[in-house]
Amino acid sequence: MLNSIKYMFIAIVLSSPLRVFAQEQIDIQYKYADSLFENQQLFDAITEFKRLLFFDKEERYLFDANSKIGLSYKGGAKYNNAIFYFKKAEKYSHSEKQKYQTAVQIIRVNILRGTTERALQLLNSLERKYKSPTEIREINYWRGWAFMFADRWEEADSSFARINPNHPLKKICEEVIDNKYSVTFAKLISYILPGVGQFYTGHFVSGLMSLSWNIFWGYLTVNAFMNDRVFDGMAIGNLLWFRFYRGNYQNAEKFAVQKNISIANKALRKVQLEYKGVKP
Amino acid sequence: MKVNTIKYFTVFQIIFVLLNSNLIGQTTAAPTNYFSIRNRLKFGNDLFSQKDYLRAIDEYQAVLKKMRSDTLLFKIGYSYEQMKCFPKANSFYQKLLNSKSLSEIAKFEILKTNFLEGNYGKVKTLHISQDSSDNAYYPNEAKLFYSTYMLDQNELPDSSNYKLWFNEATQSEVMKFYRRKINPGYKSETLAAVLSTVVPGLGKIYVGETGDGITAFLFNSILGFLAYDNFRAHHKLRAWIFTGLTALFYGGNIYGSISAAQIYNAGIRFNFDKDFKVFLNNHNYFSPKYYFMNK
Repeated sequence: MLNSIKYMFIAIVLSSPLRVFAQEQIDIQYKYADSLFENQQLFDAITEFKRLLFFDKEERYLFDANSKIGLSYKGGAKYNNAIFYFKKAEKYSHSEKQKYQTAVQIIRVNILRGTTERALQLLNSLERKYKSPTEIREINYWRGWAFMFADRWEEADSSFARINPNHPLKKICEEVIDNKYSVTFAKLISYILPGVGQFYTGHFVSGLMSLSWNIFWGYLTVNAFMNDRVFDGMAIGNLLWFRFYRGNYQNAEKFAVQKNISIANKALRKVQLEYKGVKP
Repeated sequence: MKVNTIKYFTVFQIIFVLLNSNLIGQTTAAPTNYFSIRNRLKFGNDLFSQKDYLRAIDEYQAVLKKMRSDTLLFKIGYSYEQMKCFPKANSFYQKLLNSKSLSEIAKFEILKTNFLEGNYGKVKTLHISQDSSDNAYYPNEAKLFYSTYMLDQNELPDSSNYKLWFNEATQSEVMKFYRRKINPGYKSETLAAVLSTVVPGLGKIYVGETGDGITAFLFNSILGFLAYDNFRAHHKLRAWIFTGLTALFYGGNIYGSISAAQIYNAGIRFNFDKDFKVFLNNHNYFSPKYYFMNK
């Protein structure tokens, strides 16, 4: 009897490769899909990871495959799909570290997708859960990126400052803040002297035209009143002078906003091309 | 004891060899196993159900290289249709015209893809050339055929012919669209122009742009008065400037009224087309349910 148990044990040990071999099949598929992913053949990589998920009955690769599908979709700029698969990966993560990394990926995709408010919300909830210095540094880093993409450069600047006062991205934020035009100031000086707001934003011809039209219609209005042609004065003043006066400060505001957008875009392009650190 | 030992050993050896041989078979065939026709079909169907049509097409195409399947040809056509690649979808449906089981469905889908592409003339030709007696999907096609008249500028057929094809629940909806198409409530461009010629701004008010109409009236009146007042006061230069401005605004008011009527009419056409397409979409373009696709 003892012997028979011994032989049964031997037989079980010998037949254990059954599971190993079956598993090898899945491993080979994973390696194949992963090699496609590494070679940036993202469409095929997604197909093969999906095939892996379809046949992986033991669900060993649920996290890895979903995570890589998410990354592939992200690489192909299919951000909604990427978030869908990252969420699946987050659900099947095996450790807190994996959960955290996937959550960060979701935030990065939200930044790229332009849904920066959502990214900031997620960062806040992540900050409440993860407290280690490395994690807090990373959270502040992506918060800075989210603020940059949301055109909130002052807040981006302070986020990067929390990581390092000499952070290279902080310097870029400072440059943008320095170079940006004050929309309120542009408008205010145009209220006081028409055309000056345009001069401030570098639109000299437009500023000159604005000034000239306002002088011309202003002269006609005042002249009409001085000659007791009250109705003429009111009509010219309301229909022409006021129209050009309003156009002048609206123009100044528009130019300042346009210039600021152009400065922000230039900075983002610079970050994209020249910054060597991790990007969303 | 020794005999027993040999006996147990032999039994386990046999079991082991049997299991192992099966297993080795699996291992060596492992990479190809996932790519067998059966597995590719299964995987393709899974992708199809997830609406990942592009990848499903790849899997089905691979299966079709090894075997002919009308269902797969149809599913490829359907996938292209879902991705709005209508000419490609059409080319796959065309391959099924001689199919025993799917030719009628294919005919309907060809008509539908033409409809979705906006080839309403082609839809009409295809439907007229069909024989109602040998096509189970003739009523579905007829619904699309009559719907083309709602979206193009041809004369509408008699309402009784149209509503005949719909059940009671849908009939009332269809007839609402029919009445909207007959009486769209367009505004006359000529009338708008005439009204604005007589009273500046009145054409705009007729089109529904009351605020603009009042503004146009005030502008024209004030400028006209300024011109008159300056002539009266012998300020000739200013008088002529204001006369020019009055003429400009007066002409602009007439032209603006015609444009407003055109925009109003385009809005009516746009909203009608949009609402009718939503209605068609809600009814899945009167497509039958294809239960065979879920297998």
